[in-house]
Amino acid sequence: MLADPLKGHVGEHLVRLVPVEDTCGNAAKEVTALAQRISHKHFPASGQPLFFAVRPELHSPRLMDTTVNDLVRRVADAVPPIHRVELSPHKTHKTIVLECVGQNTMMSVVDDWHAMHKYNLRELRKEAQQQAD
Amino acid sequence: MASPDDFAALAPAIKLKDGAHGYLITLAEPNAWWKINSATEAVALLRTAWSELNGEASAMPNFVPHAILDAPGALFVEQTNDEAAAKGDPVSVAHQIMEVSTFDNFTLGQLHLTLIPSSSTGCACGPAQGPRR
Repeated sequence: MLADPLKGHVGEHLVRLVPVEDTCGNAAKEVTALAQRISHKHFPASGQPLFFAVRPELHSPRLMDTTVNDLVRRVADAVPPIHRVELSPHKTHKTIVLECVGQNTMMSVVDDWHAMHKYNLRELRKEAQQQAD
Repeated sequence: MASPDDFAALAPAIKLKDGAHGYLITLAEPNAWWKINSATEAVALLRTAWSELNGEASAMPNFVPHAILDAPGALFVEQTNDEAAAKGDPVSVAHQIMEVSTFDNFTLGQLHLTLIPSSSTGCACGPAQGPRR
């Protein structure tokens, strides 16, 4: 029985646990289609403009930086133009998380990417321990 | 609680099916022991978070771990059973997990003892050895 999860047991074997709303292959056309599906769900074509960022994470050594940059651009382009890219974490309303894993691309939109330490359980636990101390 | 069936579902995949949703797990060490324990831990956390969000009596989706062969440091836990999944998207479930303080009574130690695999998984490690630090 774990009396206090902050003492290093929960997340013992996990580093990050990132939500994935949708997946596809890593071909450019597939990623564009996926970005449009995700964008349609989270970014209305009218109304209040939102600041957003695209955060790619690579788990595949075969992907070149240029390829990743192209994927990021495709994702950003799928968002309606009333919304703006904003790289400052403190000003971003939404973050599009783009995970390139082997031959798979995974995507989700979250509001609290930086506050949640990129969904890194160990970093969160470390912060909680520091606050407790 | 996780069951031994979750283990059997730790199926290897190079390419996931398109349109899947779930959770990307990043491992600290890409070895078999770590994969199995991470899958166990993730499924248990996901089920606990699901119950926290939807109540014990709610229908639970299936959480199916996949080892992604061309990305050894990553696992994908697919959330299936759309009827149940409609009640909680991966983002809200993952967010719940990040709120580690809700898991005061989490019994991960019991889960490990229950779910250490038989020879069918090909893992030579046992519960007494644990992961190397």
